Amino acid sequence: MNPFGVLVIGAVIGAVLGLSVTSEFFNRKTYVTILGVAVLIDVLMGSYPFYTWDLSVELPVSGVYLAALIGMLAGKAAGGR
Amino acid sequence: MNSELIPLMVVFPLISAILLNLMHGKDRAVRVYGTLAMVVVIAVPLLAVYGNHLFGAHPAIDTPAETGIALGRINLAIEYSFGFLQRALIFLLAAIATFAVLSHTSNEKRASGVYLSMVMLSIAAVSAVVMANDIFNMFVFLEILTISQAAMVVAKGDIGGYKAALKYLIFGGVAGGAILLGIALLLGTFGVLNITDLGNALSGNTKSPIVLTAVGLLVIGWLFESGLFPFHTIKSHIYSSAKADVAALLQTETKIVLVAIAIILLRLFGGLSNMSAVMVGLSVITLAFGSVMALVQTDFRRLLAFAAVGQAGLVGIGLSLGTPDGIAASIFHAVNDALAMSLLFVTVFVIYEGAKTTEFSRLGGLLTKAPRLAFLQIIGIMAVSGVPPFNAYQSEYRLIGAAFQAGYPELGVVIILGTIVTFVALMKGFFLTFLKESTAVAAIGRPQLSNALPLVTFATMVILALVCLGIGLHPGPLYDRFADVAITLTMGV
Amino acid sequence: MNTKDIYEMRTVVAAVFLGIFSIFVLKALTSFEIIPGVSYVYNLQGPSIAPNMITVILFDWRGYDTLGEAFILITAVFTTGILFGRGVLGGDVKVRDTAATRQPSVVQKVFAAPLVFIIVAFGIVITLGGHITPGGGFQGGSVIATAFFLSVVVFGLRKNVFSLSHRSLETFEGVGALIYLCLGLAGLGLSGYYLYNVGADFYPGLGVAQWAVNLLSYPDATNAGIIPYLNIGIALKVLSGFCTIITVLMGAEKK
Repeated sequence: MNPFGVLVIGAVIGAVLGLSVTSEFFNRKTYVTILGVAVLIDVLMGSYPFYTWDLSVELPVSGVYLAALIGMLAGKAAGGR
Repeated sequence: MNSELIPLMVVFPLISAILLNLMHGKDRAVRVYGTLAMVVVIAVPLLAVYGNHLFGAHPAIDTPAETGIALGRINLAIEYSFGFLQRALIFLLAAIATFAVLSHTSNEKRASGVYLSMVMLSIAAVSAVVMANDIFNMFVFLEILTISQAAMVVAKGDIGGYKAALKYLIFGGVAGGAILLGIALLLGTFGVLNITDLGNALSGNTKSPIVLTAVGLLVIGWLFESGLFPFHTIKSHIYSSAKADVAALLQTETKIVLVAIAIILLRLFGGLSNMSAVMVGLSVITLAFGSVMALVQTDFRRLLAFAAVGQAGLVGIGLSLGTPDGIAASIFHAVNDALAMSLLFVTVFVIYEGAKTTEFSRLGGLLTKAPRLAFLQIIGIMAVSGVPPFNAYQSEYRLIGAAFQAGYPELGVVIILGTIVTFVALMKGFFLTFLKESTAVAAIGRPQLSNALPLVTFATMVILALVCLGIGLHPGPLYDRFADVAITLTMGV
Repeated sequence: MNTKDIYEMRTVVAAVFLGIFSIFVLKALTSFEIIPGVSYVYNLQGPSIAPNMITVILFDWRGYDTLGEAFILITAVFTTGILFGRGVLGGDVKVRDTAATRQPSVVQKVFAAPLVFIIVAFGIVITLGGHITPGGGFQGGSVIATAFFLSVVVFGLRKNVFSLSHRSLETFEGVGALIYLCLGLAGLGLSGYYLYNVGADFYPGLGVAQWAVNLLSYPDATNAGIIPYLNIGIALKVLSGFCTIITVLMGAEKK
């Protein structure tokens, strides 16, 4: 059983917080920075926080982290303030 | 037996506190929900079945040897126990809190959801302390109680309230730390937090330095939460800085918590004669200081605040004796005194609302203005100071009897003296407010006290006076069951 | 002897008593032998609920205490609000918003906004991993709140990365606390015991309906039941509590 629900929950919380983010301080460079640094951090985190995935290989990145980040960005895009 | 309504007595006020805070600003919603919530708060203790409740459903198990606990069976869950004593105390609290809530929703122009949520939090906290059979849970809710009490005083919005609340919180921090350290020492030494288990583990084991230190620390916490001797000034300061309906609620909560923690201390360290002696001594000092300080006050609210603290000392004396009669009489006196003191606080509140002051130098001659108020106040004074037809007479008489029976006739004399001093102080207040000829009131605009008496306030006073009279005439039904509770308690010791 | 002398004497007496008391406490602590106690049983049974023992003890056996701890924080936040005029009797006192918009430096401007996203995502990971690894609602909520602090410190209160009004923070806080309280009520309704871990169904004999177990079991191989949901509630409550306090303190006017 793969814990996909965790990704959903993470994305939802991220989206809720992302809804209240204002656009004023963001431009294309900011998003590039966010994604670049996030991928780096994600790789360094490894499989933290150690959810058990039924995959043939061990997951090299933290899925929850990415889900939360994508959720935030989506929430910000949807909020549009 | 598991009873499902027991946790609701704490959880429902907590939910209400959150909802009322969310409703803040919507005036009508706050008023309606606040009033309806109090109906539930009063109904639940009456409907709940006596029994125990285990949080998280974890049962008692046979103790594994590796734990090092010297008991056959231990409780894993946080446990609440609910019996007649708990029902009586929580119902009393709910009743007085209802008066505070109704007086808020009917007298204020704009109902404050935050303030009502603080009232709810304090109800939940006191109910939890009364029912908790788990010493750490007791500590957690004592913290909530301290902060919410300070908040209710701050909500009055003047600088005096801020000062009193800040002092109260600082001392509360010290007392909370003392309780927590005491609990930590007991947990480390005996390995359990459940009070029944801890009492069994402690029996015959009370002479080690760890236990004595823990007793000292827990007694410090008890003294603070009940406003006894070293903390009597801060407690009276809190009472006199609050609005009177809040002060009535605060002193009720204080007396209930006094009884609850003293019973926990007796259950844990009942065999320890030193603790009993210290508790009696500090209670006597509180009674003396409270009553004498009340005598010299020049402000009616401060006078009442000190009188309330002195009466707490009276409650403490009987509980510290540790005899069944003493405990029963003390619990009975706590209930009686909370009722009568609330009546007095409400009458003084009315004076303050009308005259905008309670300083004796600026009051006087109110008898012709407010005869109904004067009548109710004299009933309150007689009830508090133990004049025969009223309730406190019954409990003080039994307290004196208990002191004689326990072999301390001197305590009986002290109780009588304290009562007389309280009576004199309160009568002084009555005389200076109602009887003394004064022209000072004219200068601040003649208060229309008898006309301006709001219906809820008047009904509150009449109901409290009638209850005081009723318990005074028929003390049996209540006292006998407190006596049963006390006998069960002391059998376990 | 004037008043000042009395105060000095009082300090001396207090110091002497504190010294004596400290000696007693230290003497007691030297003879302090700690036994494993009830935590041995918790550690024995805990791994069958979730791997992180601290979270299991905090949210399952002592879950009700944790509820109380959370309410200490809530009470403190409400009290801070009252201190600054919200909910004072006789109508709210409006505090004039004097917090000026700050002009951040270039470095702050470039790094603060992306950092906010990264910190918030990390806080969510800590919250959601609370039952497996060190972490949980309190910690995750505090981490998310630091993102808000950073944004407030760099950009000022009026115009920062988050446009969180007081009202929405209150809603977050209320929702967080209600999640906790209502999960407890679910246990009460289904099994008869408040805060029973319905999803993990540790004591199957209580007759909890299977649909409820399926509904509240957490989508993860290490089945922690309702504990991760409790963590989420606590995280919402802690982050909004801290954010409310900093909003109130930053917005307060000096008198």
